[in-house]
Amino acid sequence: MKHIILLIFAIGIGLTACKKDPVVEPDPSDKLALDSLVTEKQEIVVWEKIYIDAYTRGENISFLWSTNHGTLVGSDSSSVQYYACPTCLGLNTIECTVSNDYGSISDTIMIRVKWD
Amino acid sequence: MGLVWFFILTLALSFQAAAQCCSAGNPLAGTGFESESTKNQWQISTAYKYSLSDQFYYHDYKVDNPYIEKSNFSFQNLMVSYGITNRWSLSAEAGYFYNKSQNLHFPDGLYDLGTNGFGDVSVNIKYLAFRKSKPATMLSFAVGSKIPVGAFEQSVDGITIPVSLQPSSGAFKYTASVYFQRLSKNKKLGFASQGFLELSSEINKNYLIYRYGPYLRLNAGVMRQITPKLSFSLFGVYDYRGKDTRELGQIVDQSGSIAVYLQPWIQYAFRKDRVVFANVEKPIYRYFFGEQMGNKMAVQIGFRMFYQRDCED
Repeated sequence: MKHIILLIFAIGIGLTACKKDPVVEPDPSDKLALDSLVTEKQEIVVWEKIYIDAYTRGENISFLWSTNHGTLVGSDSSSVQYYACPTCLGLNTIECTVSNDYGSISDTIMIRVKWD
Repeated sequence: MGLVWFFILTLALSFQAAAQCCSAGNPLAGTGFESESTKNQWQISTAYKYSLSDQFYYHDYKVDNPYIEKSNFSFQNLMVSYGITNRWSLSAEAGYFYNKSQNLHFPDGLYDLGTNGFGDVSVNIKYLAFRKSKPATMLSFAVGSKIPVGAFEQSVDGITIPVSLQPSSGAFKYTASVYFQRLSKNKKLGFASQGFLELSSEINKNYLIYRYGPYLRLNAGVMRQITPKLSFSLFGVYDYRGKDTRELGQIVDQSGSIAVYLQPWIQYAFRKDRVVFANVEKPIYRYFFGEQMGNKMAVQIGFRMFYQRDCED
């Protein structure tokens, strides 16, 4: 009986010792991800200035912001200011493209500009 | 000499004047009174233009805007034309914006939005429909296009510059013009008039779907030769810009304008085939269909030369 217990114990130790820790593969999106574009409001009036923030994951990310109508102000960062002059009334699109060594990803947000 | 002083005075006054804002694409250059083009003749001209705007208008009165302190550009064009025959000539024009920018004043600081780069290229073919030597009279027609080869998606520090500050208009445009000129027998007095129409095709790039409204410019002017080398001309200019449209054919209500300018020119021919010229634009009436920025002043200085290639036919 004593030998059987020792054998079970030894097998148990052997199995435990051979079991490798599971390798945690990083989620590919951790290297570069643009989770969301967030703004205070999606309906503004002419000349009203708002901030738009990009929530990202990854290292050494560079940003490129663009819009079809209106003006963006910022400096290669995850946050920009947006306003629209009177000729930019309507539903406008703001695009943010983030890039690093792993590639680039884009997302858009729509903002409606009203006269008042 | 009095007219020269009048020109300088007008130049000074124009710094208090208003006209039209920075807009996408090359500004209209022009060379005032035209010289007759002949077969195998090359004409080369270059002009530097500076424009400054710092006031918004609604219809014909001033309105405030919270951010834009001023908007300006400095631009130089190069135009080359060649007389294929005594009646037909070809021309091409390109330009470079040394600077096209806006100064913004936000509560948290000052920002400078702007860029530089090549503008669009225009090509034209002109037909001299009527020519008479005494008194010197000519009537010509031209058609052409503006090709959006210039920089249109310029970005600075991760921000794409607004369309109105891009060197290129981004749109293919079709142009047509008619020009009439008549000089007195001794060529010391002259009259010229021009009609110019520009129609834009639709821009469809990324999220931007946009068509600039039609642009019409009519002008008429007189020329007085002060000395054999120095001449002065004064043009009245009527500008009409129709309303732009965006996606789904939506009309951009706040776009479009009418303006009337006085445009004095001075030309000095230091050789028969070498001319320097300068002009300013002083608006005397303007009406914006919406709230838009108007120019404070625009000034242009340039040089034109001719070269006749002699060859056996």
